[in-house]
This record gives sequence, structure tokens and C-alpha cells, in this order.
Amino acid sequence: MVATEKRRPKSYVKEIIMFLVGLIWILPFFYPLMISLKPRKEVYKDVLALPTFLDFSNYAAAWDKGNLDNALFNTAVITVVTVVLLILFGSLCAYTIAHKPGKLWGLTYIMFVVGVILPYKLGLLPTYVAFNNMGITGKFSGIILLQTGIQMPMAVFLYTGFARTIPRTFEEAAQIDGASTFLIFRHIVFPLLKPVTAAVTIQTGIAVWNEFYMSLIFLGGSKRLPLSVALYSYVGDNATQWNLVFASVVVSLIPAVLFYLLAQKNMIKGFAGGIKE
Amino acid sequence: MKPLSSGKQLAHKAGAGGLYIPWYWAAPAILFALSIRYITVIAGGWYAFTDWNGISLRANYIGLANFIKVFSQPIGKQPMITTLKYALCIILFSNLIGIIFACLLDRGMRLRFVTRVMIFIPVILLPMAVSYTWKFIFQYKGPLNGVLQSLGILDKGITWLAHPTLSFWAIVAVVVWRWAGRCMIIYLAGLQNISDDVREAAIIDGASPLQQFFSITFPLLAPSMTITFTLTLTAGLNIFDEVMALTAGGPAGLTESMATQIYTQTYVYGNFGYGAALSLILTVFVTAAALIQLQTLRRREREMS
Repeated sequence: MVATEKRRPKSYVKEIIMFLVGLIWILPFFYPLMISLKPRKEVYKDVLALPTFLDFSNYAAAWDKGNLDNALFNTAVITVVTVVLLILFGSLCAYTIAHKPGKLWGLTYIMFVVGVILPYKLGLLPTYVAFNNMGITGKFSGIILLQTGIQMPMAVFLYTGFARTIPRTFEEAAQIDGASTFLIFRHIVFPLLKPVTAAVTIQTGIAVWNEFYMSLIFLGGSKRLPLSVALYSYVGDNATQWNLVFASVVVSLIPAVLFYLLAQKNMIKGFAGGIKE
Repeated sequence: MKPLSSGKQLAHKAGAGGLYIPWYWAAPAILFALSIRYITVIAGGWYAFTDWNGISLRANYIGLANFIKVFSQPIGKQPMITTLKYALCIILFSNLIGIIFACLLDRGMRLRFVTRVMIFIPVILLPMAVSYTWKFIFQYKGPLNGVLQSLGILDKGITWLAHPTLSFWAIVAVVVWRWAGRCMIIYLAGLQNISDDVREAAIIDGASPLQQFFSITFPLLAPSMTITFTLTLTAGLNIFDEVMALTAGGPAGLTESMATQIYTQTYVYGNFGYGAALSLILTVFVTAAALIQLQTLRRREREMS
């Protein structure tokens, strides 16, 4: 059936039209690239025209003034530490939930599931007050604790669904051989959880990397600005200098595009996760 | 789901055999979730009934005064209506476009994989960066007016982001553009579950493509729909980044969402009590809508399958 469809000319037309739709879909990204290479005087002269020469000085200026190296570093630290904590605590908790019988553990699971949907904005104010008293607003520790707490239900939810389907035979065999529970988890269960670890890394990693609202509240005005907030304040200061703004936009997009290319296969699976297969 | 429950029974038997997992393995995750996602939310709910400004030592209980203020002033009501409109439009258009793209890119040549990537890429990119790109496109002297004018569709440029109604639609367009790819991916995963036999049978029976879609594809996409509707609903009601980047709530507060209003009232003006009341209303909206939607969609899933 697939083979016959391939030969039908109608199918070619459909796909080529869709390909053109796809090109239009990503057309907006053409502007940051083009404008960031335009000399300042040409930005508005003819907005649709290509630059007369490629002006890379925009990138140097944006890098200098926008503190982009610092923002990239901050975002990377926050994202990596948060995702590591989510994988470590999330997988351990999910494994426990999947193994323990009884109502209390059932309720614990429901607590995480509800947490996936329950909005967290209302809790940010008390958290902000508490963190302020503890002196951890404007610091890595504060935002990492917060992001880990916010994303934890999603991590446990994803892990538990998968942990429940792992056959127990492997664990039992290892147990008979005298391995401790932690060794069994570390060497048998955790490697089996790999697909869901990929999904957790992708979903929560991108959410944390792109986060703006909490970062604005908890890190605004500090030295630990992540990309989203750094970009926001940079645009606030240079609203009309689109050549500079777009140089920083392009820089801020490069890591995500590279990550996408590296994790391409897992990426789409990770985002489609949750569907029964 | 049947093999899962029998597997669970097996597990119980094996568990009785004695693989003992200490309870405290689960403790850090539970602590994180309970403290950040539950206890602080309850504490925030308390602030909503006080006059706290964040500076004074005492928060006085003032009953429903904050809520009355929200519902009696246009500055409180307007963002609520706008947010509901955002959510509705975002759910509708993201899913519509997502389903159409998924169906058109499901089977066929290799080219479709490239197309899928192009449609998916906005999903993962920094929303702030993407929003600024769109802000430029919508500028008076920007490319959108440029193209429309050179094609002769417009005589004069439009100030899209300062227009009382078009600014709303500009924001909706940007959010839908970002979410349609995510919906598409989830629908594509759902389409994998529809076997070729069923389709072939329908084709032999002489069903038109449209009939095939409504009698086979659409019902079988019910589980995907449960996920995409819940995702786009929460995204729509919590809309913040795009509004801040594109219009900052303007013109005259017409594109202000509940989330931007909460941010301004609480963290810019320091009206903690008022901001908490707004947050509590938003929390109730999202939770109620999500629960009702999940119930309806799950029931639909059961009926359809």
C-alpha cells in the first residue's frame, strides 16, 4: 500500500506543497540571520533587501554589551544541574513507587500526576519570600531548587509509567546472585530506563533552558541572568537596534539548534512521549 | 493496558519474595514536589486573603476584598477575558493545524521527514528569541508590511502590534506557530497506531478521503487529542513570554494576560495580596478547565475505542 502510494503523482504534488509550507513556516528565522549581518544603516532602508556587505561587527558588539557569554554559561549551569537532579531523584522515586504496594504509594503517585497539571504561579510568591529570607534569590542555588521542584512531577510521572513495565525477572536473577538493591538499580534498572531518561532530559531540559517567567522574578537584576532574561533586558536597552538584537537572538538559538541536531531521533520521540504504543 | 495489570500482580508476588527498596529513595523527589508544588501554593492561597505588600511585617486578613477588587475593576476583569480568548484560539488553531499537518505528513516520500523537522523546530527554540523575531516582522517598517505592500494587498502599512484587535491576533499567531509543531508530533505518534489494513479496507469499500478521515483517523486520534488539548489549554491560560516580548500588554492593556498582570501587580508594584488573588483565580481556572477537559476527553476515548 505504501509502495503504490509512492508511485502516485498526486502524492508528489502533496509532498512538494507541504515542503513549501514548511519553508514558509521557518521563513521567520531568515530575518534574524539576515538582519544580524546587515550594517546598521541598511536595516530599515529596504527591509526586504539583502545586505550589501556582511557586517560581522554586530556579533562582536552584541557579545560585548549583551553579556552573552555569561548568559550562556548561566543557562547551561542551571539546565545541567537541574536535569541531573531530576534524573537522579526522579528515577529513584519512580522505581520505589513502581515496586511498593499499598494505598500510600498509590497516593504518592497521584500527587505527582496532579502536580504535572496543577499551575505553580500561586506558589511562586511564598517561594520568593522564603528564598529571599534564605538569601538565595539571584543565585544559582535558588533557581535550581525551584526549577527542580517545578519539573519533578513531570520527571516522576514519565519514569513511573516506564518503570512499571520493566519485567522483574532481571532483578530477581541479580538478587539471587546476592547483589544489593542499590547495585541492582544502578546496573540493571537504570540502564533499562534509558529511553525514558532521554525523554526526561529532552522535555525538562528544554523547558528549563527556555524558561522566562520564574527566571525573571528570581534572577532579574542579578549577575546570574539566563539567556531568556538577558535577551529581554538587552532588547529593553537597545529596542531599535535590530541588527544588534538579532545578533544576540542568533547566538541564543545556536545551542538549541545544535542540541536538536545531536538528539534528533530522540527529540521527536521524547516530545511524543505519553502516547500508548 | 491489560498486560500491565497482570504484570503488576506478578510484581506483587515477586515483591513478597523480598526485593526491599528503602522508602527514603523516594524522599527527595517527594520533598521537592510537596514543598515547591503544594505547600507554597497553599501559602500563596493564604496571601490572597490578606493586604500584604511584601514590606510590612504583618499580613492582615481582609476576607474577599482582593477578589472584589479584581472582579469590580476593568484592570482586573479585562485580562481574564483576554486570557480566556487566548486559550480558546490557541487550543483551536494549534490542534487544527497540528492535525492537518500530521495527516498530510504521515505517509509518502522521504521529503516529509525534512518538512516535519521544519515545522517542529519552533517548538524547541527559546520563546523570547522567537518572539523578538516576530516583533520585527510585525513592525510598521517591517517585512510583513513590506511584502503585503509590494504585492499590492495593502496601500499603507499597518501597525500590527499597536492595533486594538490585530495585536491580539498577532500574539495568537505567534503562539500557534510555536505550538502547532508539538501537536503535529503527538498526532503523528497517534497515527502510527492506525493499521494499514483498516485503511485499505476503507479504500476498498470506496470511502472518500474525507470519509476515511472522519470515520477512521479522527476517532483513533482520541488519545493524542487528550494530550494536545491539555497541553495547549495550560499553555494558553498561562501565556506570558509572547505578550511580554511582542506588546508588553499594550495597546492600552488590551493584550494583557492574567500571567502578565500577575507579574506586574506582584513583582513590579508589590501588591502581593492582590497579585495572589489573581494567581488563585488563574489556578482555579486552569485546574477546573484541565479536569473537565480530561474527564470529557477520556470518556470520549472510551466511547471511540
